[in-house]
Amino acid sequence: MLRCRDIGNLLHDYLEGGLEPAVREQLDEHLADCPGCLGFVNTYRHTVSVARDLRCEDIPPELQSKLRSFIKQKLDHPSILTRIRRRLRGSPGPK
Amino acid sequence: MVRIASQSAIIDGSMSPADDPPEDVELVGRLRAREDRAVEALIAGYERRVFSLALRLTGNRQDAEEVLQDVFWSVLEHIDSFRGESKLSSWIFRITTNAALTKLRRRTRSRELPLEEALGPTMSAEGQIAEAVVDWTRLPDEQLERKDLAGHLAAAIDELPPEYRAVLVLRDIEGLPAAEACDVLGLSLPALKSRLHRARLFLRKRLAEHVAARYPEITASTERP
Repeated sequence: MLRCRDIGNLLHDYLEGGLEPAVREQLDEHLADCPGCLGFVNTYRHTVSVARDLRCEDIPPELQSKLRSFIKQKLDHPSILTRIRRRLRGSPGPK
Repeated sequence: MVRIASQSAIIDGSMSPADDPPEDVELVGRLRAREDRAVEALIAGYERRVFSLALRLTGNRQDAEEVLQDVFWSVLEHIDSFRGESKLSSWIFRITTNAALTKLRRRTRSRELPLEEALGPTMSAEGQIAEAVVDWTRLPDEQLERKDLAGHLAAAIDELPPEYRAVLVLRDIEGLPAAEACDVLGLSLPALKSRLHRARLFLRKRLAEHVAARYPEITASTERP
């Protein structure tokens, strides 16, 4: 029988759906009888869910332009070190 | 210095070097041939993810912009030595993570995360929960603003030590599969799971503290009897 203390070790696999069915069943039974653990698991899961909101879905257009200018400048005017590296590798410049 | 595929890409039997999508294999070939259009394809394919990762890891817009530029230049400079033992995406995310964490470590002092026992609910000697746990997820949406929670979560992530922050950002924010996150960070799966769990516990605790302070009426109405 699971105790509250055991829940933490199982949480990762529980949320990922990676628990053995028998263990998952025991955990679900425990949660049905223990409001403290249920609240803990719900808020743990919600924390993970809110974290997804922090993903940056767009990159600002001015930053995109700045990045391309930076790379173009680097490719058009490679440093001495880069030129030496390319020569040693025998690789061509940009086409 | 760029670390290239220092860890085996095969972790837990779930990933093999052949996992690179065909379009990335082709892209590597075109980059090695110094095709201009391949450079644009590389940037267009990865700029959002590299910037998002750098922004969350450094917690600083200026640092993230510098990381973004350094990463793409580093990839272009070292593409000839990319051996394909990792997926191209894993290699790029590894360069990003290393560059971002280097900036972060220069800027902030390293701190320790409390032990797992101190991050979860208080337990009795018998292993039972010995404190009232507020379940804020049972509240109506209008009572708890998700945007407000996300703002506090972002601030709490900035408190995480770099090695925990990296795991959390890759897995929970960027949504990388566990095997790829292991490859990016050079961690075993158990180590990854352990760090992720502690980071999540820390963040949950911070949100619980915020909810208790910001919405005292909620705390009172949802406490365990």
